[in-house]
Amino acid sequence: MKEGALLKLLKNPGSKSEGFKLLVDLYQEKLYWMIRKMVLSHDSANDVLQETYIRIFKGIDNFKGNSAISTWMYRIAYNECLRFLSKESKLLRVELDISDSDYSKKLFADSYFDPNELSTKFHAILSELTVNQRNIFNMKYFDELKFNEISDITGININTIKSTYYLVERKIKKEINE
Amino acid sequence: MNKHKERLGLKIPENYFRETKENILNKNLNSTDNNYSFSFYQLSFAAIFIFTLVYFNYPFLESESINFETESPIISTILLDEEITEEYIIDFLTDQVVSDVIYMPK
Repeated sequence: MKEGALLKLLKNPGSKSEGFKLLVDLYQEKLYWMIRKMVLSHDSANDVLQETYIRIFKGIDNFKGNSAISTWMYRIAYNECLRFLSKESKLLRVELDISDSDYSKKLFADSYFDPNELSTKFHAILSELTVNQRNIFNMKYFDELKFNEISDITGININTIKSTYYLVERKIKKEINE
Repeated sequence: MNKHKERLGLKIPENYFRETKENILNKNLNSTDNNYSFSFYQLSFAAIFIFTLVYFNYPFLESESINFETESPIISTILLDEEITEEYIIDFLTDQVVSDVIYMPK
């Protein structure tokens, strides 16, 4: 289904429920994995996903169509993750330019984490990155988002995103092939 | 999405997406009856209506008339520029005591 048709369904009170079901079908997996890589544990990701869809449902009437609906949904999910992380760390704002000192602790505490040789190497590198670097890499490499979409979601300049991604990608390739 | 399992070791419970879809739909679609949305104009009208009601009905907003007890020695001195003499105070206090005794509830 094309985005225009989906929006028409969502904006019409009579077909809003049908449109919302389609939104859940199309994006719940994608949103879940983006959230999971930011908050790390499955239970937290589930909570954030539920909250994200509540905000999407409430906010859909005010969606002006200035971006793709998927970008708008990712942005809500991203902001919801930041809100969750700041609450979790008991800080007003998440520090995006430093690495997360609790990365490994959160990961290994999750019962749905099943490490193997490759994932251990990946996480060792990811844990050393700043929160912003990690998010940019994950969104491009795993979620396969475009650079301009990542820029719209995070509010970071597109050139910064490109340079960050290539830097991290090079680092990961080098360390994994060693 | 297998990349998440292979490269990051992240797993999910069995049937997770099917179950969570039901949860999301139940939470949102069943709560639509309780969602009231008001337009900016409706809210503005309500605010003006409430303000008008409060403004015209609350007694504290009316200008209060001030009644001074001119028999009081201090007030009469200030307002009427009278001199307080000892005799005046004794007279005043005697009047007060007498009236308090007379009107004091048993």
